[in-house]
Amino acid sequence: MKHTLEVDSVMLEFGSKRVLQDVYVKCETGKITALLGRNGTGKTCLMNITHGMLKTENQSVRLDGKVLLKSRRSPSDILYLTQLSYIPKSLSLKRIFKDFNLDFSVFVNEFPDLEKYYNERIKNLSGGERRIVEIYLIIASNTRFCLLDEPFSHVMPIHVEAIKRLIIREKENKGILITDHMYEHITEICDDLYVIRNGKTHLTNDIKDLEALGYLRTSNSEL
Amino acid sequence: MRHLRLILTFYKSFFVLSFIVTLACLYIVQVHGLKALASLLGLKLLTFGLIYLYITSYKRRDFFYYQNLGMPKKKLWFSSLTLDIILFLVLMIITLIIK
Repeated sequence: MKHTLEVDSVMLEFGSKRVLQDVYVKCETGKITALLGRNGTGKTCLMNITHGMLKTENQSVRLDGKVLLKSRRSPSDILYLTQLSYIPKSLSLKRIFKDFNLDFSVFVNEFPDLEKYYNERIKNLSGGERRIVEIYLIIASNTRFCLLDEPFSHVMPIHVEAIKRLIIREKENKGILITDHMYEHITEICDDLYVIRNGKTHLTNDIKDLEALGYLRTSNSEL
Repeated sequence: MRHLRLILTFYKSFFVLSFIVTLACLYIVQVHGLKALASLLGLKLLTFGLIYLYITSYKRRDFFYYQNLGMPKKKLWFSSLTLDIILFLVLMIITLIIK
């Protein structure tokens, strides 16, 4: 079944600074929707608003056309990979996979290097390894939408490729909203790409739009 | 079952500090009797406040784990503090009976 997640009418200000003012993002089952923008343009804020943890005066977050009024989101609707580590350090991988009701052996098929950590606490893994576990839990879980904030940070290239494969595979069952500064990976896998500039979202058509919107400066445009 | 497991995990993150304060309270009641009870309840409340500040300052990211598993912050706090109060009261009653 196809689901849609839409965010618009967002007005977000910090003091006198208006961060978001004219936003429209649509995410659908079967699609990877990307969000790019310079630092401080409000990408993470928009993710937080979508997830319900940041309330603004004006906002409309709709799931299948129904406005989500409460700040609490059901995990069956939306899961959120935050920019920073979110797993309590004392928990073992065994326990974490049990909590998320996921099969560790399936995970190991994708990331065989991590098999040895099954009984280890998450704090004993490196930052990159921890990030892989965190990403996997969100992407592989049974939910309608995944919000991924900088999933490729701290992850080595071989694992980035594995994560991309995983995201592409999982988009068949869910919608994925992703933001990351590793734009080459993003543009490679995404179906729709929005750029935030001056508080507004712009739906782009190709890489030239990224230059026109000031997110990218290619060697040609520098000349 | 999963929710109970999550509540216990959250409670464990501040159990040691809270239990030390509870033991101190029990010792004071043992020595000074019931007249100290009101002050001890105040001490326990102050401890809750400090624990709240500590968790929301240093472990706030952990809440995303619980939220992604369908456990909201308020429920975590309410359930674990209820558990702590029950433990405090049970140990207090046992101490008074022994005394």
